[in-house]
Amino acid sequence: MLLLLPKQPKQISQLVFIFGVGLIGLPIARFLQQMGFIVEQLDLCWDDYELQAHQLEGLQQRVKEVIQDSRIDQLSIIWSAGRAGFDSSEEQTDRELISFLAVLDMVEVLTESYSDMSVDFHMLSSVGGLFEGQRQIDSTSSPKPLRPYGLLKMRQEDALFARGSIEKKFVYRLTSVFGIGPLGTRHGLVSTLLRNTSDRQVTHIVGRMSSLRDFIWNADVARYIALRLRYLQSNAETIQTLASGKPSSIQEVIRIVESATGKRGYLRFVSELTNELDITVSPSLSPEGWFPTGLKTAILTLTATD
Amino acid sequence: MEKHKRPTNHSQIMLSTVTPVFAGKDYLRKLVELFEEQAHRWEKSGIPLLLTECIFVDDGSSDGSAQLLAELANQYHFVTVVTLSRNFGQHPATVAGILHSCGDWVITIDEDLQHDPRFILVMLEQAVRSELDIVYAKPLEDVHESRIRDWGSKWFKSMLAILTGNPFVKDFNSFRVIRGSIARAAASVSSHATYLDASLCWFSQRIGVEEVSLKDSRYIELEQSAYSFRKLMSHARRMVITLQSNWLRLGTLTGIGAFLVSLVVGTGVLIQKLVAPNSIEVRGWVSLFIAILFFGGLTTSLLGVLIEYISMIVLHLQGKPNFFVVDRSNDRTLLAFFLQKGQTDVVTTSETT
Repeated sequence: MLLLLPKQPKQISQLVFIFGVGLIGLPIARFLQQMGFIVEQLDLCWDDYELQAHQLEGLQQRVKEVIQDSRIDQLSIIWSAGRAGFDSSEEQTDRELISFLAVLDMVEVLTESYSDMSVDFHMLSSVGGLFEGQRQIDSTSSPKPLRPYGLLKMRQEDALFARGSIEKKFVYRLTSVFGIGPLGTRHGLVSTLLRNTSDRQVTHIVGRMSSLRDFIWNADVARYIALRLRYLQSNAETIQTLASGKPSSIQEVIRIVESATGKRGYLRFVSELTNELDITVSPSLSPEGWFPTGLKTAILTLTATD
Repeated sequence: MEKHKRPTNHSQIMLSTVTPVFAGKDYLRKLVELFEEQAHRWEKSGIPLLLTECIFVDDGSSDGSAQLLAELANQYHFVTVVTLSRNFGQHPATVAGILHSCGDWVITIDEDLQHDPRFILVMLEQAVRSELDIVYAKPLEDVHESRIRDWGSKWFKSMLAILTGNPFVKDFNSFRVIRGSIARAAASVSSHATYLDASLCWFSQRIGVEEVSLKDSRYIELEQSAYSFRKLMSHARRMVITLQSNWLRLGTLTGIGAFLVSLVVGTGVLIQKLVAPNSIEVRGWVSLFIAILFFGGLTTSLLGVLIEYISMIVLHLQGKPNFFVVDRSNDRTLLAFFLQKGQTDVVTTSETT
């Protein structure tokens, strides 16, 4: 996890915690660095709860030190962590929920300890997990998780909104995110396909050629959240859906990737009934200030910068 | 104005309509009202169809259509507007719209009320009853009530059908009902020079027609069309480029024929020269003719092979697939309804008269 401190405390009076430095957490940290933060890496164990509790206490201590040294009036927490994915079992998702609740507890303690400080919590959730198999998802659609991962996201959202002491709560429901992230983390179908096609490797696709998804670029998500975190916060509890609003079939993605790389993709389709379900989002859900880059432009940019 | 509420039954067959808009300000509101009317009628009649989205692609319109579309999008939950950065033409706009769709079936329909949304149901019925992937509307009578325009169009399509060996060309029409997965697949491989209907043929040969009444009232009443002669020629050019040009093979075959004739005649003349040299009265003329036939035939046939290679490369670049997997299983829902209900003319006849 990362702690972001103001480079010039006279200009910025905000502290940011990022739990989960993966496909989205890392680019958010980079954007915040560009906005005048310095990054401090802290350890947080996800498997050993005793050690985790100890580390979270250390984290509170670190906040205390920073607050003593400089004027901090805002604490922002970003939850972009998560090892669990679509295939995760109930046991795996339960473990992740325990970690999430522990972080919420820590944030509540900080909120009570520093009542003058404004606290905002930004949680990344999943459209795919919550609305799997639904098309044209809009404001009238209801979450209906079909697997433990979706249930986890629903429980996390409920747990966050149940914490009355946390003043501002923001949930970002994301569609299928792709982009460049740190090694060892999930990169999403598009990036995997792009890398494998470039390297002439076989890509295993769980789904059908005609399966529809809504793809968004991690750079867009990171920019949006970083800007919102710094400048555009409302007092209300909000749930926002970050989607492109344009459904794309797997076949369309393959075609763009092949065209961008100039190579044929080697593909193997793995049939899994539930993963073949379409998930698309109505453009009417796009929040103000959210400008997703087109899939083709993003893929061409990734190809050029690879 | 209060937004119309979206029905929440997701078990129904979802429909997306795609309408390219260039100069349709005078027709769009009426078109949207007709869509809404149909959606209500289906709901009322228990037809398992859900009008999920009506996608209007603003193709660089300059008649105020963009403002009207923005109003309609605010008013109707099912209206989605896709705005293109400039005028790209009807087919690219349709492709853009299809790529924004998510319906089980995609209906492409013109902006000017030439295509009546009330025919969507009969076209869909034809599709599911006959296990088709694409159904084109076929005009019952002359669309433009202009002999030159209507006969010119028919003649041109018939010519292309013969030249390309593609019998579906003569049925191509911008009022189509297309299986969603096929529509999106064809749209995703379409480039700037691709003719959408030709790329649809790459993905399915299960194509049918439904005879309906079509009238281009804009052309008939105002003698105005959104498509200039130049644009129509551009359409024709794209169709020729995209369709497999079987007639090019005619050149190859002619070349091979000439080459073989030169060999046969040349051998005959050689034998004649060896056996009865005195029987040749005019010397050199036949040899010259055979040489021209030999090299002309050889060059033409090699050129034909070269063109065949180029044609293959062009088709590959245009995205002609090796195969495509399709799932028609959800047709059962609609088919069951149609079988139970009998012919849908009970729903449509009274409306269309």
